[in-house]
Amino acid sequence: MGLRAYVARRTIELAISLILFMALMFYVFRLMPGDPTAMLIEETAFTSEMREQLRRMWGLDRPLHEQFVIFMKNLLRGELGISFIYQKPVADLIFGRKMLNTLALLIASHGMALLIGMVLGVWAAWRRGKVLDIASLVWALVLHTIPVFWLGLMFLLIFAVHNKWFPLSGTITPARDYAHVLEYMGDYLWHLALPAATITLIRLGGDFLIMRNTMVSVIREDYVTAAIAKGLPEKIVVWKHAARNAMLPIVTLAGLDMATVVSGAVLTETVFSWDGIGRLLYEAAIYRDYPVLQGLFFVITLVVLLANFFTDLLYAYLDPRVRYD
Amino acid sequence: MKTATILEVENLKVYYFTQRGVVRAVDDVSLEIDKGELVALVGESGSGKSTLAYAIMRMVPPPGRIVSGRIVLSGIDITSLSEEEVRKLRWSKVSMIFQGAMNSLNPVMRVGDQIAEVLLYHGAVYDVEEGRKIARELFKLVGLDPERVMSYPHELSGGQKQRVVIAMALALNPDLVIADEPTTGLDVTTQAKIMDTIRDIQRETGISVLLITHDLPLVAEVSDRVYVMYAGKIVETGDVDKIFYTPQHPYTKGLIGAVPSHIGPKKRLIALPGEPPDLRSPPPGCRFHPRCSYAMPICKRKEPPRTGTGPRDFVECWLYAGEEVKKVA
Repeated sequence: MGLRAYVARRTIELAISLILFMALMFYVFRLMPGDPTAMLIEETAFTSEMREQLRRMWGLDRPLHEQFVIFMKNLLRGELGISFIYQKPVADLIFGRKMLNTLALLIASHGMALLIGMVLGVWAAWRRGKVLDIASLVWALVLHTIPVFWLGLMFLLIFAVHNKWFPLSGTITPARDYAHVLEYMGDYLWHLALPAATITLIRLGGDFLIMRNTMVSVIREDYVTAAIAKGLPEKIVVWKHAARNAMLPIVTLAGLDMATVVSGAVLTETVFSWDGIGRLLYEAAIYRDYPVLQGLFFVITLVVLLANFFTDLLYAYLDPRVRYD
Repeated sequence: MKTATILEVENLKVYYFTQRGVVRAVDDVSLEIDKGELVALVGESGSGKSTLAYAIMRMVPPPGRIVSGRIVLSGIDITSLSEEEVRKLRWSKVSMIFQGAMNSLNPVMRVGDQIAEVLLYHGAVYDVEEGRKIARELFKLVGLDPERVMSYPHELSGGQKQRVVIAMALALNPDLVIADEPTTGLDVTTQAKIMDTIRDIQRETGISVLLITHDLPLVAEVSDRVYVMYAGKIVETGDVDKIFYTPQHPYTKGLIGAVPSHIGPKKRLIALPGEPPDLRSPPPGCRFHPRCSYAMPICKRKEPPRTGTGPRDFVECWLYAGEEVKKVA
């Protein structure tokens, strides 16, 4: 089967999965106990008539199947609806600052973790049993088991409270005037440093362990022995022959992690008050903001499905034995 | 006229220092290969053949290491060279056809590029394209379609992969090619074709070959001289005819007796009794004595001396030791 037919087939599969998943999500959100209007009840002036009016406005008074038909029709027109809480279009909420903040945080930290984890994992495996290997292994296991929020809080305590090197929260200094765009970027990076370092360190352990373990088994392969016998420079043996063959598992992992990249890091974003998708998701779940939840899960699902698809394509590039079928 | 010696191994000892003891895989081995010779090294699995091969490449895997002795390759004692110096000699002076050659090709690289990179990193060519051109020539030499250079290993048959590996071994025109069980895992017809190819190329180019195998009929057919290895030691060496028609050492006799013959009258196969010894604690005296039907009291006490049986042939066995040696012992 050629590449074109493969892409066509996968696209149809992708669309079907997406629709099925959205239908499932629609009912799951409404099965959760609680009511979107509940958060307004605390206000004393909130009468039951007002509540009924809100329910009518949000379309919650109609039978579920009717709501579903309306939802799907809107979705097919590319409309994700209006947030109950923010009173703004869901699309604007998701594809705005929050998404940019989340992408900046997670691409930076996942990228760093992947890069350092891979390089360290490859060399640790090559120098198996030596000091570098043992030391990295111990640290990786420690980092792998630390809870992310604890590490975040420790970072805040050490680097923002005791030493005021980094800010406590947010993505930029509030109410600050910037003379230049570079100044703004500097401020942003300064805020980004701690949350990004937290996620990088937590992920580093896992990435390192996976790369090292695959590499250790690849090193025993005959073609690596042959590469050494061929008198190739050590770097070529390690990277061109061994590491390239050890790349598949970590590529899979990185592909699957695309879900976390768009869904944000709920815990880290909360600890550092990072205004990203993770916090939006958390709020939407607490307040039963159905349109936002549906919109977020639509985007997350789409990205995961696309990431899997592209991971499969990348496989074929990395390993010529992989065929499209 | 004396032909040049390509490889000279002198009193080589290679031990593996494992946690459960020292494995004397190669113990005081001496071996010589002249230019253009095809020399066979035979012995059972675990006799130290492959360790000897890896030692000649200076690639003994840890916890193994060369304990003493010399390996002189094309006039250079490689035991005293630095890792970087050895790297440059590898493949340019001595190349190897690995055991299970199919797995010695990198699955994610085009086979031609695996040859081209050898040329590139040894400075024989300046770019990959030039390397591929030479790879095409080498493919023709080993009987492969030159267009196959662009194939990946999984697109080739077992026999074709084997030919690629042979072409690769010839890339830098080395003085010596070590062929470690070059035909295992192939069907019999392919085995014969591959071996013919190796033999033809060897005759044409004058490259010396060290053939490591336990396939005795193959040895009888292609080799000039034979070394018989048992439990880390060379027990007998001689011209191929001498080894096959008048074997001296009881172990050699046993090996030859254990090979089925298709010609001549039917005779019972004589299998060697027992197992090869554990090389962490080999038996005292002659290492073969527990399995030897000619064993004498002295065999259990003292290692047998080397008795010359020709200009460069010898046997290590008490049966052939001169009277004066026995008296001293």
